[in-house]
Order: sequence, then structure tokens, then C-alpha cells
Amino acid sequence: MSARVSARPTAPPARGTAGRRSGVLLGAVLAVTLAAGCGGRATTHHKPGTGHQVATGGNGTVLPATDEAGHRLREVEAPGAPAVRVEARPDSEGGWNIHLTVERFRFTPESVGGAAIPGRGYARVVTDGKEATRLYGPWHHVPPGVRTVTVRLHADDHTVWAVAGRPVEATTALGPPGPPSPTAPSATSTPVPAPGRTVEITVNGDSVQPPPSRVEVRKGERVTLRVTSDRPDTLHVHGYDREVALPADRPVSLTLTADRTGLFEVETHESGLVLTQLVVR
Amino acid sequence: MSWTRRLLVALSVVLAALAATLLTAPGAQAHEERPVTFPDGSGSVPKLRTGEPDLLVCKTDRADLVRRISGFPAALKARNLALFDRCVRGGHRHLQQAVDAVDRPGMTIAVLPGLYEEQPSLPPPAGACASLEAPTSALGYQILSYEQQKQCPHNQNLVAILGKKDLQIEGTGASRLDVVFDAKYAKLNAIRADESDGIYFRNFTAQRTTFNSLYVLAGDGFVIDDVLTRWNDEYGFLTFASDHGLYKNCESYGNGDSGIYPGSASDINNGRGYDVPRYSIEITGCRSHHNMVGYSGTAGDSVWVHDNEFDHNMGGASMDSAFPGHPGLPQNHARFERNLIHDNNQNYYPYVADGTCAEPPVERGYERGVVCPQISMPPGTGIITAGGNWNLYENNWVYGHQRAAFYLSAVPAFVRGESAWGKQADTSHHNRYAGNHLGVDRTGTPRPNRADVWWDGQGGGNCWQADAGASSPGALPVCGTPRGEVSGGSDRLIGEPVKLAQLLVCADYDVQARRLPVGCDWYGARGIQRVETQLALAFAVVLALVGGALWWRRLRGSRVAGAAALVGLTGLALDVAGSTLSLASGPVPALALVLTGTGWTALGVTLRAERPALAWTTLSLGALTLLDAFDKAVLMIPWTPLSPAWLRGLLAVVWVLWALVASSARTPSRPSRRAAPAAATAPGSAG
Repeated sequence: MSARVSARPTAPPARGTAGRRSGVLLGAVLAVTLAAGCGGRATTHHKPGTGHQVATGGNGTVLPATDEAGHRLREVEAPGAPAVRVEARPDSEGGWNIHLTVERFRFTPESVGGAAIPGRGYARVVTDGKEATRLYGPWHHVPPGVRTVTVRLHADDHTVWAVAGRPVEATTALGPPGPPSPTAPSATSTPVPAPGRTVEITVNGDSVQPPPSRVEVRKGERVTLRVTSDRPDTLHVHGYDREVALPADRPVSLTLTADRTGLFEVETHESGLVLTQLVVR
Repeated sequence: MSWTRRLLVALSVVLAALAATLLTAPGAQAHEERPVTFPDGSGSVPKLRTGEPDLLVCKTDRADLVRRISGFPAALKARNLALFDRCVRGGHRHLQQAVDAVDRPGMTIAVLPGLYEEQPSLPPPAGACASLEAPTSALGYQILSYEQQKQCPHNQNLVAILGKKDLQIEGTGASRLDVVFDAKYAKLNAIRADESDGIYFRNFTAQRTTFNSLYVLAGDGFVIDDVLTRWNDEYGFLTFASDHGLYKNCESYGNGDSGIYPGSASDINNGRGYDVPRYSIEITGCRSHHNMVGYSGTAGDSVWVHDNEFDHNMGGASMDSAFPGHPGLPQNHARFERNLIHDNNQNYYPYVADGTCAEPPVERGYERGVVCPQISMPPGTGIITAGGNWNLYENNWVYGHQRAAFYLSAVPAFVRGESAWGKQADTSHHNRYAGNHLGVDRTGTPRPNRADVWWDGQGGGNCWQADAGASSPGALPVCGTPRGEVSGGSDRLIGEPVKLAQLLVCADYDVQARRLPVGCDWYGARGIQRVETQLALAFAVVLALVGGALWWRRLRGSRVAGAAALVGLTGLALDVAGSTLSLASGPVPALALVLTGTGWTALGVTLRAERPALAWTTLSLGALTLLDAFDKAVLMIPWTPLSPAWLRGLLAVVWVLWALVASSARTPSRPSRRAAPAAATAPGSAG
């Protein structure tokens, strides 16, 4: 329903003083509204809205140098430069979940391909020296077998953010270094046909390193379990029913061909620890 | 806001209406420019030239180009490689260099795939350009003359095209995203074509400015073909004071005002009816989404908007006459046909409230979906018309809106800077909404709008299709089949009082002060927070107390009066309920009026013997209230300059005071002078 009163200073009913007072009140309201509502606004545009400050800061200097994939480096001052850290957590079904922590940086998938704006862009994932993928967020999964992961921050125009001529990046090694070449990641980038995969496990009392998880194996793949225990024990692979004695503090290898699919536990008989699970698909 | 203040607001609705429309622009018009006049209209819409380009723009990194074109079809790839070889030898590295090399009309510039930052244009003004004498707009930038733009083309523009005729600028990529002009929020405009008749833009992207990406000013003849604009403080495309324009297959998003703004399109049909010889600007095949409004047109005159999609904005499209300085006001003769206007329910006001929009533009995060709405407008609306005439809205699909499909209100002339009395009610006439598909998508799936129509009630010759669903008011003038035929027309000089009060409250929006009016549902107010419900409740309380006092003191013995008071009370309660957002467009408000009116009428009848004068006033009030119900629910009464609601409101003031005096008098036949103080305090205690 509509309002039942009007702003017009209606002539009050000529009975008693109440009407006259109301009339005065209406008149006052009218005057106030006139002053407040209309003063000086008729010739302006709308209120100024947001600020329209133009950006005056630069976006760094493109250097002649490039990264190994040919992306030019974009040098920015160290204070205020973006930064990245990376950590890896083993995944329960194999491989690793890596998590990026960025500072003074945000992922801008919508504007990729546009100009570089400080603190914006994406991350590139380099696994064992090869460009793997582009990241628009903080999480990524890397498959089993990868030994090192490097994440590098790029601008929207694909240049690499750099400080003092070096890319803004972070690297982490994945899992225990294993043979054949734990210190030479580039060597692992070529496929090794045999003896297949090696899983390193160390048992210390009740502690298993790496913590028990799942190892994904393709059917037909050869797997070597290399186990070091701090006390004498027996290593047993369920399903395949393979056993081997574990002397104290000496690594022992058990190699099998994963010719049956399924989930198979690897455990120690004496201490009753589950060391890992093999998922054969 | 206190009750007292709320009452004061209510008491001042007439002026409020004027003030409200001053500040409320359900549209998009934050544009201050040097004084310009319309072109003379002797030009024409330019045609695409497909021959070899005259000038080339590219970067010199061949590997980069090869990467960019690697997915192109073979023929296009070969063409780009050939153009690249030619460009490296004799082309330009920046678009501005090529524009500066244009030395005759009719030249074509081809821009090869790449990212163009126009570095030579970027430095801030220096020397004489840093100290130009020019007025500063309310928006903070200088309003430069054409000569000053020529003198300092990069004070405000990344690329300035000044006075070039029949120029064509085209990207040579496979899609418009292959050629990107990026202003990085360092300039007001990315590309400005000023007094450049016959300009043809094709196949590129322009983005990230602090005003608009692609700006055509005072041009007779322009085409915007397959261009994308995004992430601007105000507009994607702004074409102003121009004629013979064509937008086609364009896209725009992420703009704080509108994606597409054909402001002050040439006013070539002023004075005509619906039949017009031509339109000044045609817009077709465009999509505008995730903006404050998809399309806007302050003085968007004679614009033919057809087969576009405006979706997921706060409002689909708007046009208005709410701002001075725009040639061609009041707005008239826009024609909307076969557009898909749907799901415009975004609400970006929280970004104002939380301070995101107070950051500098580069920091706001437009790229991740932030939009900073520049003005106050009703989110959840399909097409808003705030002060327009002779607009045609036919055969559009308008669905999925949480407020209303169509929103029509008037704007008095002084708001646009015209003070002549004869012009004050010259907007909101002859707008025709017919044959639209309301509340269904193109496949026929129901996607209802909460209401199909919201109208302030002002203006003559407006009409809506008969099958429109929920509307406010409930009874609308209905369009006949031929244009111009209206049944149940109206001639109101001013809109409904409560709607105008709402506009006043809603208009108190201020981006910079981060002020979102608490009483306005545009900003999220619900239930008792809304000014409409507060007003209804305040008046219900006042009337219930006064009516109750009257009944208790004078009519307690009468059963009829008791029943009348009950009916009236029920009506008042329903009135409060009917003021809520969910019931305002249904039958409840009219039902409430019927009950209140019946109560008053019966009360008047029982009062006749004791107080004939008051009785007749009460009867008149009852009759006006019933008439108001008839006006809102059955047929809008024609040939009346004010709705019954206004008369009812005026009379109600008289009645409240009179009833107070009557009920406080000691004897029915001899009112005492001492009754006066009691009467004077009563409204205070009631309010």
C-alpha cells in the first residue's frame, strides 16, 4: 500500500493547535528536504564512483637471458618480488602431491596471454629437468618415479619472473634418493627398462620410512623392494607369497614381477609392520 | 534509521522523488567529455575491405609468432608468415606508429598475432603535456579539447586515432584473442577513435583500462566487428555522439559500468512515432556479461539492438535520461528485438562494501571476476528504462531474473539540467513491451522472473503484453497488436509515492564512501530492513492507533464499527505483508487496500450521525482507498495526473489529525479546547 502522507504542506484541519503544529512541522520538513536533497546536485554527473587512478609502476625489465625452454627472464627488484616455496607429500595411491606457497603473487589464469603485471601469472612445473605442466593454483600431483620438482613463477606474457638474473623458483627432491643415480636427476629422465622400479624402505623400531603408503605398479612391471631393518626380521609380500630374511642393518632386495593385479601388502613377520602396499593395475 | 526520520522521509516523498531521480540512474552514464555535437549524418556504415593491407604491425620475434600461429589452419598460417616477412622488413612494431603513418583516407592496418603493450605511449605526461589547462571532471581526469588530444595523444590514450578517415584496423589471427592490446590500467582508454569517420575495427582484444577499452567519439560511420573488450573501470565499448554505427559479433565483460555503451547515439528520430526511416547504431550478435549492466545508453537514441545476449550482469540492459551533458536527451527510439536477456542476478556491491573497490584499479582483481559497480541500480533486472520514450522491446527472451524482467521509471527534466516547467514530465512515454518470451528460455523451459514488470506508474502511452506475469502495479496498460494501440492507458505526472520513497533511499549510494543504503533491497535489505516495509509498518501503526482510539472513544457501542475496525486492521496487517519483496508483485497489496478501504467506509457510515463532517472525510478516504485498489489491480485509471494513492495520502494526513481531535474530545458533540495537547502528543507516541 502506498504512503498516506504527502510532502506538500497541506492546510491543516482548522481545529485545535495540533493541526497547526503539524503544519509547521511539514513546512520544516519540506525546507530541510529541499536543502538536503537538491542542493547543488542538478548539474553534476553521478557521484564520482570508484577512483580511476592509472597504474604508474613498471613491470620489470626483460633480460636477454632465457630459461632452458626459451622463456625470457623478467627482472624485478628484490623487495616486492614474488617468491615461491614448494613442499611434497606422498600420495596414498602413489606419487606425490606438491604444494606451492607463493608470496606477493597470485595466479591469474583469466588474463594469461596478456601483459606482465607485477605479482601475477602462473607457475611452471619442471620435473627432472623437463617442463611438465603449467599451474594456475597451488596444488599439483606428480607421478611416481619423479625425483626432483622445480616450480618457477611466470608472468602472464610467459616471461619468467627473475631477481638478480635468476628465475624465481623453488626445487624439492622427492623421496629417498635411490640407485642408480640419486644425485644426478638428469640421468633419471631417460627411461630405465630393467630392473624396473625400486622401492626403498627403512625400518627403525616401529618406525617405517617413508611412511607406509601405496606404490602404483603396472601389471607386468618389475619391482624391487630394498629394505633395511634395524633388527633381524622376515620380509613378506602377500598374494605373491614371497619371503626373504632380513638381517639387522643390512639392506636386502626382493625383486618380483607384478603379474597379478590387486592390492598386496608388504609386511615384516616378526614386528608385524606394514611397510607398503603394492597396487598392481 | 529512526522511526522519526523514516516518517520525515515519508512526508517528503514528492521532493524525495526529484532528489532520488537525481542520484538514481539505473543505467550507466559516468562519462564526462568535451562538448560534442552529433555528426551531420551524411556518412555511412563502412564496409569491410578484404584486400592486402597498406600497413603492418608485428613484433620481430619469429619464434614467438610461429608458436602463436601453430594451431591456425594452413592457409591462415601461410598468410601470417607471409605478412610477417613483409612486416619485419617494412612494418611497424606498435599500432600507434602505423596509425601515425596513415596519410590518406581508406587505408588498412593489419596487426599480426601478438601482445601489444604500446610501450612508447606508456610514459606519463611530461613537459607541456603534464600541465595542460583543462577542466577536471568529477571523475578525476582532465576533460581535454580535441586540439589538446592532438597535442598530447597519450595523456589518456594508449592508441589515439585522431581525424583519420575510413581507416580499417584488423587483427590477422584465427580469433580475436590472438591480437591483444593491453593498457595494463595505465591509461583511461586503450584505443580512441576521435572524429575519425568510417573507422572499421576487426578481430582483436583490448583490455584493462581505467575507463574504457574501445572509444569512438563523434564519428559518422564506424564498425566494431568481432572485437573483445574486458576489465575496465567503466565500459568495454563506448561510442559517443556517433552515427552510422554497427557493432557485430562483439563481446565484453568485467566492466564497472557497461560492456556496450552507445551513449548519445545520433538523435535522428526525435519527434517521430514508432515508424522510423533508419537507426543510427545497430548492435547485433554481441554478448555482454559479468558487468554492472550488459548494455547501457544514456541518450541511447535510435539504437537497434537485436539478436544479442546480455546475461549474468547485475542488469541486462538499461537506457536513461538521467545525466546532463549528453546530446539527444531525453532518450528515445531504442528498439530491442530477439535478444536473450537472462540471469542478470550478479551482485557486485559486496566488493564496494569490503573495500576491494577502494584499491587502485590494477589491484582490484577484475581479471578474477571483481566488478566495481559505479552507480546505484537494481540487481536482478532484465531491461531498465529510466526516463525514455518511444522505445520498443519486442520478441526478446527475458528470463531467470530475481527482481524483474522490465523496469520502467521516469526522470524529470531538471535532473538532466533542463529547468523548463513544460519538460519536467517529458519522459517515460510510449514505451512498448510486446511479444516477448517472459520467464521461458529459447527451448521453452520455464525460467521465471520474480516479477515481469516493475513500473513507477508515471507517463502515458506505455504498454505491456497481456501475458506478462507478476507485476507492480498489478494492472498494466496492455499493448494492442499494432504499435501505438494501448488499452487502459494512463497519464500520470508522477509515480507511486512509496516507489519514489524507495528510489530516494536506494539512491544514497556512494562508492568512495563505501555507503550502501541499509533500507534498500538493491543492496541486500530484506524484510523489515526495507524502507517500503518500514513505511507500511509505520503507517499501519499510526492508523491502527488513531483508528483504534476513535473506535474506543466514539464507536465502542457499535458492532458495525467494531467489525469495520477489525477489517481495517486486517487490511493494515496485509498491507505490511504485501510490502515485502516476495508479495509486492502479487495480489496481496490490492487485497490489503480493499480491506482497509472497506474498514474506513464502514467506519464512515457509523460516524455519520455523530460527526457528519468527519464521517464524510472517512467515507472519502475509504472510497479513495478502494479506488486505489481498483487502480492497482483492475484498471489503471486514465486521464488523472496523480494516482489515487497520492490523494489518499493527502487525505489521510487530514483524517489522522481530525480523528485524533475527535477521539480526544470529551463529549461527542462539543470538542474541548483542552483536547489539543493530547492530540499533539499522540503522533509522537505512535511513531
